[in-house]
Amino acid sequence: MRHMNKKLQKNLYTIVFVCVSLGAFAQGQQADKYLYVSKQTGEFCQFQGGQGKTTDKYEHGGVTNVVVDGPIQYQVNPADMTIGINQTKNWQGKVWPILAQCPAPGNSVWSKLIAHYDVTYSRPQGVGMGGNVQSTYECGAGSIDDGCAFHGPAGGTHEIINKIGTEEQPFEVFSINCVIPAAFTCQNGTATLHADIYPGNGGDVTWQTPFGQLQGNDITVNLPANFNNIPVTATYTVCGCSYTAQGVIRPNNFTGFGLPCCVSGTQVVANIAVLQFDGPCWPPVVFSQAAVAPMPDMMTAAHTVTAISNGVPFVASTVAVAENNTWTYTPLAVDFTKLGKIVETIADAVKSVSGSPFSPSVNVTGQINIGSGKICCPGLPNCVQNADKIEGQVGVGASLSCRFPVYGIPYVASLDALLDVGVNASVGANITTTCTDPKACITGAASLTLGLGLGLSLAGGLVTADLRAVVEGAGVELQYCFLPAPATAAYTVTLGKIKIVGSVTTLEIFNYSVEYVLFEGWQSGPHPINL
Amino acid sequence: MKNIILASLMVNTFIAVSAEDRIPKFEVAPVEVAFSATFTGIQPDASHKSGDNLIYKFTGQVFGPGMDGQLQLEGFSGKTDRKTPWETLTELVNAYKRKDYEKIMSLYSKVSRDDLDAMLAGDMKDKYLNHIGKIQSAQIIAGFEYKGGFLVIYQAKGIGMSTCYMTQSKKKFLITAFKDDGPESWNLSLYFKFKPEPMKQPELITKMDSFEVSDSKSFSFRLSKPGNWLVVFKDKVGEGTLYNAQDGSNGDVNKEEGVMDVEFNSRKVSSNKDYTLYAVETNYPVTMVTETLIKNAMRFGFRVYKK
Repeated sequence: MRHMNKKLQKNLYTIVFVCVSLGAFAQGQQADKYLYVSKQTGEFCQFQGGQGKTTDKYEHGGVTNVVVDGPIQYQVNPADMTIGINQTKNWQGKVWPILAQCPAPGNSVWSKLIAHYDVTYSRPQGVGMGGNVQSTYECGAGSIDDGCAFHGPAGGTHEIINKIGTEEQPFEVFSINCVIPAAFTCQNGTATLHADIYPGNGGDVTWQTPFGQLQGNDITVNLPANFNNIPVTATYTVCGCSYTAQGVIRPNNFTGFGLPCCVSGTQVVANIAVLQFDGPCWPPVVFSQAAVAPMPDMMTAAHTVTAISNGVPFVASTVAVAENNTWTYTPLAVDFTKLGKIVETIADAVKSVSGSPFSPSVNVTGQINIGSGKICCPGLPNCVQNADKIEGQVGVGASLSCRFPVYGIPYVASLDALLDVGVNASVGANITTTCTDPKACITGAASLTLGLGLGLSLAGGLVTADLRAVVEGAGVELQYCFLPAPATAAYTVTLGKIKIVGSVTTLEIFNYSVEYVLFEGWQSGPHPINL
Repeated sequence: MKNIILASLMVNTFIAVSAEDRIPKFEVAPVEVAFSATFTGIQPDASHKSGDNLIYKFTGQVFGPGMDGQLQLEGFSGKTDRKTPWETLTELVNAYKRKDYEKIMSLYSKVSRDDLDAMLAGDMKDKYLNHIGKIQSAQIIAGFEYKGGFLVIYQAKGIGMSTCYMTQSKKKFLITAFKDDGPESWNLSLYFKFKPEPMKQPELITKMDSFEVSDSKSFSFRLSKPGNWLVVFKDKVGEGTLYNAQDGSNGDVNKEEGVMDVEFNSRKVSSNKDYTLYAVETNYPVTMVTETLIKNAMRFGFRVYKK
């Protein structure tokens, strides 16, 4: 029923808004509509359309007055915007801008149509809002169809409503524009065709160029190797209105050319060249050589390159550095046997008392080498710098054995423990000093083995002591710094809990299960060593 | 070290079994022993722990100072009724002295004789007899009721301290092989071995506040009692001590009685560093740093520099 009432109102408003009523109506204020004009060509676009309406025996009324606000005008045919009861009418209408009153190109103005209406219609009681109830009647009370079902279901009380009000429809009128910037952007022989268009909320740009007609904005065209001014025309068209602008692809002057102080390895000149022009449109640049590269079997190679654009030459120089060339290596003086101190540290920590004298046995295999070369450091004053490369593989195995007393057994003063400590470190180096860091350091882990034997068969009040030491985790972390000289290392040792476990049997076969902690855990370091 | 012996110290008496035989009187009473569980070898025993101490209560007999638990090795007839643990033990140490394996075997309960044979299989029996034959004297340390039997701890010059377990059969105490899984008897054996005394602070003799890292420097300490232990450590609970040794032992490089030297070299210290270390004197070995150790220690410091 509500739908029927709104349908009646909609049809009445349509008398005025035939051109724009295709969208959903919101009572009182309609959606914005766009109109376009070209002050350059006098073209404009308009809304137009038609709508029909059939009333029932209750519906009648019409638009009493239409007010125009802004540079637009309208036309409705037939001009009579009223309808009576039981009548069918069809209207055609249109809205268009008044060119002379429209703003300058590149601007817009708001305008609107305001319609005053006075309509009478019927609706079921209690359904719908607004308007004044003039009278009521019983719908379908008689045996003959009285036509009230036209606007709602038959039955019940229906109302006769009179409603007086206004409807507004806003329009935004755009005065379109098209401007070609004074300078185009060109790069590597390619120009980007760009026009500033207004309003830009639709339409298209068509370019007329010596290279043919092109469609679209911000499109690219390839330029000839040498060129002067190239005239182009851009036409912006929207809603049947067009605006045309003319411009010139004007090459800028080549004002400078530079190359980095140095480059690493082979480089394409176009990728490293620093070019300067006095504007954004850069004609193609031709270089005297496509790439710069180190010379075979040489660490560096100087290059002088000429760049020419639109006949103007510039010259720049660079040095190509062979950073990856095979370097000549010599053995680095590093005494890895000094890593034997690691096992001494561990032995000292475990026994913590004076025991048998010990000195580590250290076996070193492999060699660390040092080579000299050149590296490119563009940010430094002398951009080609000397660099050192450390490479090689060294294995270090250090071990020692010592005896010391272990306490905590009631039946003997102490047990003679045999401690075996072994550290195996593998050093793999492949480091090159950098422009900013003259150090050559690496870190690595070393495997640590720890054995603590406590066997005893007959001593004191014991017949057997089947004991052993359990080490819960042990490890060594190493850091080597080969450069700057002298080479150093630093080690950090971690020992986990060390427990004495096993069993003890006395002379009289009293057997104990034994488990006690020698110490909970220990970490020491970093300890530096000069290698 | 807190050491409480609540047992009434019994008057040392002997029972004459024969005209020449002297056997210590067997008389048990409630005993409580409490001691700080800081020395090396103590096994964890949560059920007897109270704060830093272990407390053990038992019914037994402790032979303290002034009490003669000496076992007769000269002039002994060789035979007793074995009605007390001390009678059986006296027979045992005398059998040890005579290397009398048959006699030793007879002192074991029947169920344990095979265990003794098994333990001394092969050449172990000869080694065993040679070893026990070195006994020169023997002293009872303590004995207490334990897990249905009687546990005896004794000290024998020549073979050291030992523990044996006895059960009664036909009113005779006989040695029985026993496998003990709990820590109680072990910890008590350790306690009676050392009779731990309270920790003391040794006197630092060497006055030195710095030394060069490549030098090897020793700090000397004077102990309050010769034969005690010196323990030097950092305040890192759970870590091993830096140094621990008994005065007069192989680990004591200073041969003056009651004076001990602790050497520091580049293996133990780093250059350009200030060290604060701790030292305590004990009458038992300590290998791990504990809160109790730190609390009772004297502190000393020095700086290590590099030229």
